[in-house]
Amino acid sequence: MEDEIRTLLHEAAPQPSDPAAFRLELNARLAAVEQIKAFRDREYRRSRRTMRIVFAAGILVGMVLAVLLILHPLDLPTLTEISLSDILKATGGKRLTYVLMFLGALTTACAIVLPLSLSRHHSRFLNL
Amino acid sequence: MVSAEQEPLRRFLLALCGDPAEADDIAQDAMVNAYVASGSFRGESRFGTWLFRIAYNCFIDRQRSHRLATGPLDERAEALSAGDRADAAFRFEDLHRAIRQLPEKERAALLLFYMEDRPVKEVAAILDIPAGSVRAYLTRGRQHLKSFLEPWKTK
Repeated sequence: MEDEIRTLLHEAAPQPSDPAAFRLELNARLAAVEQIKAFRDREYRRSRRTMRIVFAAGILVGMVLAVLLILHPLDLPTLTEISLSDILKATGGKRLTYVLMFLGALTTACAIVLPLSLSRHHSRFLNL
Repeated sequence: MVSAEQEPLRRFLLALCGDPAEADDIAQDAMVNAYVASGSFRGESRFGTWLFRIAYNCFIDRQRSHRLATGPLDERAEALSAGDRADAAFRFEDLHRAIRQLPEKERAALLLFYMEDRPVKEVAAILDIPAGSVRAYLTRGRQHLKSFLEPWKTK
């Protein structure tokens, strides 16, 4: 019985058509994969570079802000007692303080948003 | 390595799914997947086993997403034996029709064991099931094909 099935299946084994055409299409697909891989590597390197730049810029801006804050100390109330009127009172008339606060907020936003958007872009790309 | 496995893989997929274009498409997918994942091949099994397993998974994925053609079985059987229009081809059409009616794992086990001459251990690795289950599938498959073989023996 075993041998009969074996013989029969051997005899009835289908013959795949034109191996050359198959290989040709396979090579085309592999070339496409190579292109995608190269693109992915390029994107990955670019996003890594951007992240490094953002990181360095964040540190630089943070250091500049720290130096400016040391040079121009603010008389802000403690965090628990803080309110909008207190901030306005503390910063009233001080243009530099507004600029520093704006830069601080911008840096924080950059530090949060950029890595998030980059990682999302990256994971979307990797799922291709 | 890929070249050596190319023909057996295509033959197996063709017998498994019955549609030459679909079988070749699955084989292409499997080879591309193997190429992409070649870094994860640890050499625990033969390369051929690993490739067949990827191909079988591709076949299962396609079946799940209902991408396999659902044309009449007669057409598929005809495609399988298109090269030969003799009595033998007619008989083979019947055989392929009978095989196509077997449950998927049973069919794959029969084709790998009898048509591709893969040992039970390798079939188990490809189908990702224990060797005992492969033997059970083979026994059941033989029983199912028995009804086909009886009239064939009398011819």
